[in-house]
Amino acid sequence: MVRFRPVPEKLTLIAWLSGIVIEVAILARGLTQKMAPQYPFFFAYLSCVFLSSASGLVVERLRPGWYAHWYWGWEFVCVIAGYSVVLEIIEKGLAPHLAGAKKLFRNLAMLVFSAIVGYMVIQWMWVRHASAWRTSAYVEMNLRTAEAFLLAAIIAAIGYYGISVGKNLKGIIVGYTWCVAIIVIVDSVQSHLGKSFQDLFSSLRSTSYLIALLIWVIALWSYQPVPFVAPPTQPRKDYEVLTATTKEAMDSARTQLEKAARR
Amino acid sequence: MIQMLLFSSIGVALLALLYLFALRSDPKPEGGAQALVGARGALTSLRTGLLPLDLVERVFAQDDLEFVMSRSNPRVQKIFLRERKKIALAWVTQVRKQVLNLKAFHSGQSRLYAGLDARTEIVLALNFISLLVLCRALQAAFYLRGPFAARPMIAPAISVGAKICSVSERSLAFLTPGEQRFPEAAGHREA
Repeated sequence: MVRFRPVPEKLTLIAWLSGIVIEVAILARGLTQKMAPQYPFFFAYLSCVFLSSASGLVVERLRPGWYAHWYWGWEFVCVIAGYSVVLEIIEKGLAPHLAGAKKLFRNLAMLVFSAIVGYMVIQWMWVRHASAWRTSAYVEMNLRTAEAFLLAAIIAAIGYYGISVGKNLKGIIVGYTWCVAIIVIVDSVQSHLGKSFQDLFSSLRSTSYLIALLIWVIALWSYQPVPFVAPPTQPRKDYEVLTATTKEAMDSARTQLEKAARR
Repeated sequence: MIQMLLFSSIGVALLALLYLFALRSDPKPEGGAQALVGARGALTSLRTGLLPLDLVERVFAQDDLEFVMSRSNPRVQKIFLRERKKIALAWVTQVRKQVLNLKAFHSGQSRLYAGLDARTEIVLALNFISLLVLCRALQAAFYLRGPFAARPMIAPAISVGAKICSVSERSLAFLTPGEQRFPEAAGHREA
């Protein structure tokens, strides 16, 4: 069987400690620059990850036997907190431009969340031998996939409408989406290949999280407000005129292209 | 295996989207003088028509091709085809640019309206995508086979594109129950 050589313990420890230091730096900047009240869910998520990393390090050194339970418990909390970051991105990224889309995304996100977590809670209550780590891993896999779809839709909407999100929110979106994409890829490959490459996948996840932390520390070093946008006030009737004009122009372009192609 | 490929491709697609998002420079807030001038320019070009129709007729005129092929020597024929190819490529590039301008104009303006309709917006976005794909397909066909020989390659692409658009439009009907908002526009496209 092919096995990946485990990463040296010292290197793992250095990466672990670096992560904790960067998390502290981001949290400190968030408080001193007054960014935490602007992005409360993101800073709550980062606090969860910080508590998980710092306490995990202590548990791993003092009571290695407890670590697995400790890890999966915190992982569950961090995944739930991470999902709230997506809700915050929907709230801050799409408002006030796309109030309708914001509501649609938010309701969809809440529905998916309730379905996944509700299903797992029911299963956990009814199935006697359901282990905590399996439940946590299942919730994580499904929530991360849902996050991937939601983030793709949000990024597409922001790009399509040319919405200005500001340096701070852009950093949060880039860092978090990067993490989610890597986790989705790594988890899917890992579930196919089994435990042979577990160390490699674990290292990939840690490295991608460190990269995300670096993105966040740069983007959130100082507060940069999102450019002010007046809430939409144009009446519905004008919007209908606009869409009709756009459709008419598109039909004209399509007719010309079709004529050229059918010649 | 299929599950792994499916989930991995979701992750890879998200990374590709993220790459484009990270590269994008933050647009200026709307309401600025430059944005207004740009929007007005795009609207003017829409009202006056994307490009004169007789120009399109001339570029792809079959009579010209037949005349040159029947009367002139091979060198002249070659020059004629090369020049027409250049003009056709320039024309389709300009149409693509106008479609992009139209998209920028619509997305820039529509977000200012309170009653943004999700279904209409998704249908328009799909239409923009299909038009841009059509432009690229035409560019590739003109480049590879010239303006007169491209027809067999393009006609199926157009019908597939139109089919995708009408299917997408129908599948999105659930977003706005009740009457169709733009029956005349939809009817025109179906025709």
